[in-house]
Parts: sequence; C-alpha cells; structure tokens
Amino acid sequence: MKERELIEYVARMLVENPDKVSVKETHGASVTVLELHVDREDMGRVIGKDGRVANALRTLLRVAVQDRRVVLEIV
Amino acid sequence: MTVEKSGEFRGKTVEAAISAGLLALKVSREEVDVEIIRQGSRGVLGIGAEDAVVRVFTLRATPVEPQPAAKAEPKLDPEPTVRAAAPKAEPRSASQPRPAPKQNDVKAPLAAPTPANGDAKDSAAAQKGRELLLGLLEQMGLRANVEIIQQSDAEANADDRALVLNIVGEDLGVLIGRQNETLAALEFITRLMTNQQTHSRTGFVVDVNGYRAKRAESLRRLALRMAEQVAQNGRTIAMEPMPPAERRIVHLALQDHPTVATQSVGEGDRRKVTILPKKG
Repeated sequence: MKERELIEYVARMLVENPDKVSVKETHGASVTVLELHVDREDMGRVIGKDGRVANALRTLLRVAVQDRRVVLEIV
Repeated sequence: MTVEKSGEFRGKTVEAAISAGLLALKVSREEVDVEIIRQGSRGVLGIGAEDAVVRVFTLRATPVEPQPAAKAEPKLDPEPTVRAAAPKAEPRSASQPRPAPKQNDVKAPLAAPTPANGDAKDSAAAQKGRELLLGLLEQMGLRANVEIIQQSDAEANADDRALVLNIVGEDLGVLIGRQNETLAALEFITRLMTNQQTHSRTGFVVDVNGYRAKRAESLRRLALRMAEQVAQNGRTIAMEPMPPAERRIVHLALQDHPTVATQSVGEGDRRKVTILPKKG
C-alpha cells in the first residue's frame, strides 16, 4: 500500500535506527489505520515537539490518500 | 529569447488554460513557453472555485539581455542563469497512459548558484534535500521535478538569500493546501529528513511552482501601496495578521522607505504588521 510506504520512507529518514521502523496497516470498514513502530529512542524524532512531526506526516498522508480516511498512530 | 506573442489565459484547469492560449495565439504547444500564474482550485461544491491562470508566450531561441527592472511582469530573479528554467507545463490528456517519468531526470542537480553567500555546506544540503524531496514526492504518488534556485528579491535581501527547492510540475495545487498547510508540512519534513541524514542544521526553503515567490511579490506590492497611503495621510495602517515569514517580507519591503516604518504588534496568530509614519 502506498501510504504505508510513504510513512515508512519518511520515518526511516528521520530516525537513528531505520532498521527498527515498521508500519502495520489495518483496514476497517471506512478507515485505514497505520501503526508506526520505531525504536523507543527514536519516538521523539517521529512525534516532535507538540506532535509537530506527527501532524506534518498526517497532513502529507491526507494528500497522498485523497478521500479515504487514514489514521496514523505512533506506538 | 525573443518574445513574440504572449497573453494570460484562464481555464478550469492549468491544461485548459494552456489550450485556450494556444488556440488564441494560433500556435502549437512546441512553440511556446508557459508560466503558471495561478494553479486554480475547484473550491468546495463550486464555491470559492478559482480559475487557473497561465501566461503563454511564443519564443525564439535567441539570447536576450535581462530586462530592466521597470517591467510590468514581476521579474522574480535578476540572475537568469540561476532560475534555470521556467516551470514548463506539459499538457497531457488524462486518458493517455502517462509517459515514462522523464521529468525526474531532466535536470542534473544545479551547481551552487550563489557567488556571494554560496556556502558549500548549504549547497550540499540543498542537493541532499532535493534528493529526499524527490523520493517523498514519488511516495506520495506525484510526478514532479525539483529545481534548486535562489530566493527572489521580495523574499530576502541580496546578501541573505536561502536556496529554494522549487517543485515544478502540473496540478500541484494539492501540495500547497489550505493556507499553505501542506507546503509547510512538506518543507518541515524535508528539512528534518535532510538534517538527520546530513547530521547538520540546514535552512533551505521548499516552494511549489514559485508559489512562495509570487506570494512574496504580491505582498511586497501591497506593502508599498499601503506605505504610500500612510506617507500621504500620516495615519498608521495595520495589515491583516500574517505568519512570521510573511511579516518579514513586509518589513523587508519597507526597510529603506524614506517616510514610513514598520512594526509588528499582537501575539501569536493575531500578530500583524503596522505601517506608521516615520517621526521627524
């Protein structure tokens, strides 16, 4: 799925441990949930101050998926 | 190049506007260059829809002196070698299979264009940023190229110009978003990725089809007009609230003005520039 690859691409470029990046995709009836997993040490890098990085990722995701609803969770 | 015929044309989409221009000028697509003035948007339920506007000009490939500043057309960059190519739009009918992604490899990364402050480090960071941004755009399913240019006169002082990663392509309005939201996110993420990959702090700008440059130019003009009013009737005017980067453009535009000064007032989202008469 391309939105999963998008998140994986960006996350890998943002972290110290790209090998620990994975994205799990769950399809619901009307929503797709993307769960981003990163090394504990890299959490701050993908969330950012006040969630700025996470929100920017969500903004880019919205452009990429157009009309479907996609939720990005960082766990 | 010698411009022979030119004109501004409107249409529902950029393609439609170009087609209208080709028809009006009675020329084929190969004979013209196209500058996208406004991407246009569909609006919500037809409300707030905006036509796309393009300037189409026929040209002959003869080099010409850079035009003097007093030209109607906003000349964004005084250095013609820097702004290498005007965004070229290639109209494509939607039904056709998309051609091979030749746009992506058209332009070899440009060499550092700045003699004045052309920091090798900035240039290397911009190259890396371009690479990462191209990758990001591809992941987003967008076809576009990225050129490295310098900030325009309206955006920065001559000795203080940042490099701009300008995304060029068609139908990229989605990359700007409501109130720049998407462009800001794109710039933020691209800078972060570049900082992480180069282990340095970098400050390039990301733009889409010269949107920021055009916005800066119209803001600059607005500021000059308002300054004129203040100079005439001696009364302070407040502009609409604007984000920091845009306030900076206004301050910059009026920094050498003989009779007015600028000052930002207000907090947070409400912060705005006031233009006031200079004392004495």
